[in-house]
Amino acid sequence: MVEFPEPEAAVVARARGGDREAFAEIVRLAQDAVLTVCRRILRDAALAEECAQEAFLRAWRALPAFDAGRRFAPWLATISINCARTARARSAREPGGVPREQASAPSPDASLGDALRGAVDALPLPYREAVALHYLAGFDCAEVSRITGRPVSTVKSDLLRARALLRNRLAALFDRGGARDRGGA
Amino acid sequence: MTCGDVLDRIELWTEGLLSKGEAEALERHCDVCSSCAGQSALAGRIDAELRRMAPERAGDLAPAVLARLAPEPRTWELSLGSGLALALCALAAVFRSELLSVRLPGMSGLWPAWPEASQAIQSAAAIPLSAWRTAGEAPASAWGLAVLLLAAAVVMARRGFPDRRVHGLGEALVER
Repeated sequence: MVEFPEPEAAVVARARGGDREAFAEIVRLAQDAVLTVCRRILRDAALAEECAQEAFLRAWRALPAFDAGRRFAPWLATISINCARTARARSAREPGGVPREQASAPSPDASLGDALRGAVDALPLPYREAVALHYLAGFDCAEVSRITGRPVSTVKSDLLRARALLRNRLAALFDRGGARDRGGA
Repeated sequence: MTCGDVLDRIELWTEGLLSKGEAEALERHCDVCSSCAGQSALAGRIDAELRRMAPERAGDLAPAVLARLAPEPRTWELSLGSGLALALCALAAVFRSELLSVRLPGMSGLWPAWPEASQAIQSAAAIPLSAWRTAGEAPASAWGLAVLLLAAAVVMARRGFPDRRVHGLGEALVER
């Protein structure tokens, strides 16, 4: 998991005042998290990197309007999600734009992590957004709700359905080593 | 609890969202049904794997992002812009006071150009100030627009001031 980092308030304040070095510090701090979310939504490495840069540019332009009393991480995540949605819509309009990577059946030789990553990429978009923000970026359901603009109950059911889909998809792979280690509640 | 019930509830169970009775019933079923036991184990492993999924590693994006930002305004641009903004603010203040003096009893509404002129100059002043605050977001266009608005305001001022001085304030004094 790569939690969306919360930069120091002083650094954010300096960036709001136009300090580019402070903003570069924020970029370096948050780039993995932003890229991970964009990557899971767009399913394309190059497009995701372009989208991450665009998200930071938008954040820079919107920084003067950022409310210093609020948390920075959800604010940046909201910009990243909106950027990824825009990039996805733009890509969908291009001939052969979407999907860049078709989800395929997990290879028997794939590691669990790789197989899971492929299975997450095969989820419908709302589920991917919920999984990326909750599991990969570390936001709780209420924050995911605010970031995506969907009700909390919808986010929770999206997560449950996403996990059920992942379980169905990975059943064959995991069953090979299907030990009786229920890792649940 | 049937296998179908278990499959429907596995994710809820993994999240700890089932009631105690339902959770116990599910676990009892899994003790005797190897298929459901496998599924519940899988659900737990997926949950754990998701939580420790490795992030995407970006190279250093900062240089590319900074290169895409608008160029930082140069000192003379900031000086010129700030000076222009202050001049516009001063002009707006003068016009505003003139505007107030026009609005003596019985005199309001005689000079409809003044409110517009005052408003235009205040708007013009806001543009470079805003651009200056955001450190160089398209400063050249803001300055250009400000100059145009200033020129328009000056033209309006040259047309309006003499008339108002004579008829507006003069008449008010005569009335007193």
